[in-house]
Amino acid sequence: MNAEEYYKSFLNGDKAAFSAIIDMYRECLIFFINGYVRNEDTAEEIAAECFAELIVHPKGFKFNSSLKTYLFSIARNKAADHIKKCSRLTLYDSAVKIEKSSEYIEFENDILKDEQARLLRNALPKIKEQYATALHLVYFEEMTYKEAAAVMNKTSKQIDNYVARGKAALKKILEEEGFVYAE
Amino acid sequence: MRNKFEFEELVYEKASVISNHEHHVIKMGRITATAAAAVLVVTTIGIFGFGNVKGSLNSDSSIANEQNYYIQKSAGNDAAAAAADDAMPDESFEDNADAFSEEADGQSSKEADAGVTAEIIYYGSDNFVSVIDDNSQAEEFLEELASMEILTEKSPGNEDYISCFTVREKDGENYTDQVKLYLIYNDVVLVKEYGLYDDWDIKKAENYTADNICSIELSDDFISMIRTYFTDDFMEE
Repeated sequence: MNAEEYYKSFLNGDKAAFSAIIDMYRECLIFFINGYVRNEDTAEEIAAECFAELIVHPKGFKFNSSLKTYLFSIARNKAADHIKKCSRLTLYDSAVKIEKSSEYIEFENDILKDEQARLLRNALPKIKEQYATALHLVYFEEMTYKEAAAVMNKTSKQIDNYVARGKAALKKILEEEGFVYAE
Repeated sequence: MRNKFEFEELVYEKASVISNHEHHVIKMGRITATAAAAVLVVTTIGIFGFGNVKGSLNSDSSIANEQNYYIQKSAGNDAAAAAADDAMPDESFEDNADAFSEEADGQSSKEADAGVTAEIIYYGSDNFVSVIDDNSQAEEFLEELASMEILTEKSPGNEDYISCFTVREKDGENYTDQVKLYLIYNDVVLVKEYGLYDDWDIKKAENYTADNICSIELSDDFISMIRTYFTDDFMEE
């Protein structure tokens, strides 16, 4: 079953189906939110709120997009709200030191499968938030431009622009840091 | 970090907290609307009319029951879920939202007939958050409201007021199904969003005062038109 089918099943009273949805998206959602809040405990709390929205507002999801897109869209809004409330962090603030637990490092390793991905992730805080979010969704979550557009409440064309500008900005940063591209 | 099972428990705790919070906000919205009716200091954008405001507030009791239903059902409390299910009206929230939107289209032509120059304003949720959180954008937003001839009337000798207006978002040339109802009462803003996020939100509008809200100039025709939407039922409520 896919996530949408699990959610339908949950709405019909199958609690185990909701556990399956949590299994599917818990780690990547925490990883995504942590890009904003830079604190894994906070990221975990916000991720839990995102899943809670599925319980509290069952009609919020209209089944005309993927559940993953919907969850990430909620996550982005909630993360931004959190940052506004704190008013001391900026999105993808590279100055904030991140403490990582062993569990977090474990699933981060699952997502960042190679050195290139790790370099990309580390450089994301150094570029504009919209570029970083677009790149994260497209490269780490493997979303299409259309899906990323739904998460960010933008058009596919705008995502296309964000990705292109994000890549250009990243290239510049990596070159300044002495990164040499493989032939 | 929590393990998977602890995280799942946290999710249900959060669901319960959100649900309880929203019941409180819904109740507050009702008090706000009732107080507004009592002192005849109601503001609304003419396109949607007051009957819709009332309908929207009523529909929230069904949301509360529905939330309770899913939470109880998820927790395996079948009896409690059945009770919540019974409390749900036949008409769903989604139906109400659709009706709200359809009626809004109808009101548009009614407004044209009345020769009133009110217009729909378009604001996305991101912009709205900015309106509340950022003073300069809040001022800009209020200026825009003023230019739209939205009714705002302050009851003589009474500092309380309520401002209600609805917004439909626009994507390019087309309306989306995102319809929002905003209620501003004193320094509290209640936001009702229909569409992607069926959610009540409550924001403290610290930079708003009764004076700057009520400084909006209104045409007599517009005030008159809005008052025609006041129904006896709503006044009694």
